Amino acid sequence: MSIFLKLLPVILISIIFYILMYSLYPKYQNLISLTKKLNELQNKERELNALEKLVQNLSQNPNVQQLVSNREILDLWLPQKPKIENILASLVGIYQINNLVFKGTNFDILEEPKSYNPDILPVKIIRFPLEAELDNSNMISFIDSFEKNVRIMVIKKFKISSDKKSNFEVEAYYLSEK
Amino acid sequence: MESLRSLIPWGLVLPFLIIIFIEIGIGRFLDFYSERLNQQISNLENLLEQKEKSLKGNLEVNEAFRVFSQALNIVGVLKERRSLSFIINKFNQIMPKFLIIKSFAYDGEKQEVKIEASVSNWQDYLRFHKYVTDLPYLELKDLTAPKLGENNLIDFSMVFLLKPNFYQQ
Repeated sequence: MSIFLKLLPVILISIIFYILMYSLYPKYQNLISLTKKLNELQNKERELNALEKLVQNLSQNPNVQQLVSNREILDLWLPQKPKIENILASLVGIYQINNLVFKGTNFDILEEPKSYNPDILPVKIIRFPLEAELDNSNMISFIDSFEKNVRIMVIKKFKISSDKKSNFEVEAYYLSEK
Repeated sequence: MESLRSLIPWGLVLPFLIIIFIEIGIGRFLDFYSERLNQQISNLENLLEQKEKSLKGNLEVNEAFRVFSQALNIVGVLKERRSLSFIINKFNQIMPKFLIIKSFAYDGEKQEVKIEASVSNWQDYLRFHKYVTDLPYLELKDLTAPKLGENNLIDFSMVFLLKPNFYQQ
């Protein structure tokens, strides 16, 4: 009995530390992570509310209303649908203007949309390779035709060799649905 | 039993017991608070999921938002687009006249230009190498060892990284 009494403070201190380490501390950790999660959700709620407000304001904004009334022009630059036939028509025109023969191409619509701003709908990329026989006289004019084309196109890759054969990789865009 | 009670040194044991009870109390409180937070989180998650769905549905059909997205994307694409004719013209201006460029390749994603070129002698090659490594708007990223070709020209290829100040007029 006297041994038990001597050990009693040690046993009690051990119980205190056991409760502290194996019960309170994990509960405290859990509470911290729950609070963090709640904060994240509250931030998300705030963002969604802001987005909701932005959409409401957009619908009433006179500048956006003007954009909506001129949407045909925007549709020419970056349409809401792929409109591959428009790209094809542009390509035939560009080749003809530069006295070149357009032999066709393959249009590849990339799966992954590209986002220029996280708050708006992203764009889908239509990528296509092109070939042309260019020299110093028509190279810049050919490239300018792409850069000034009404349907926005970006030359991503270009190679020209001394045998006049040149290869391009061009991108056009349209608005992604989601 | 009576003797056990009288044997226990209460003055020593009591503070420990109080601490243990406080710990148990804190544990209960943490359980209760965590449960409440869990409840709050699950409510908020449900609410946000519904809100997100309805907002997403609205956005996808909202004409003003679609047109606004179109306009901002056009600005984004044009802002990011580098004019290839500008790059070719600037590159031509920078390169020395004695350099014979046999092929020119541009990679917009990597912002790189690769050339396969020749010069008429080793002095010109060394001169050219020093010149391009000193240029502030190009970075020599890679080069193949120059070789004396069949036509007595020094053939080599180089890959340049276009620095942001390359695009300044």
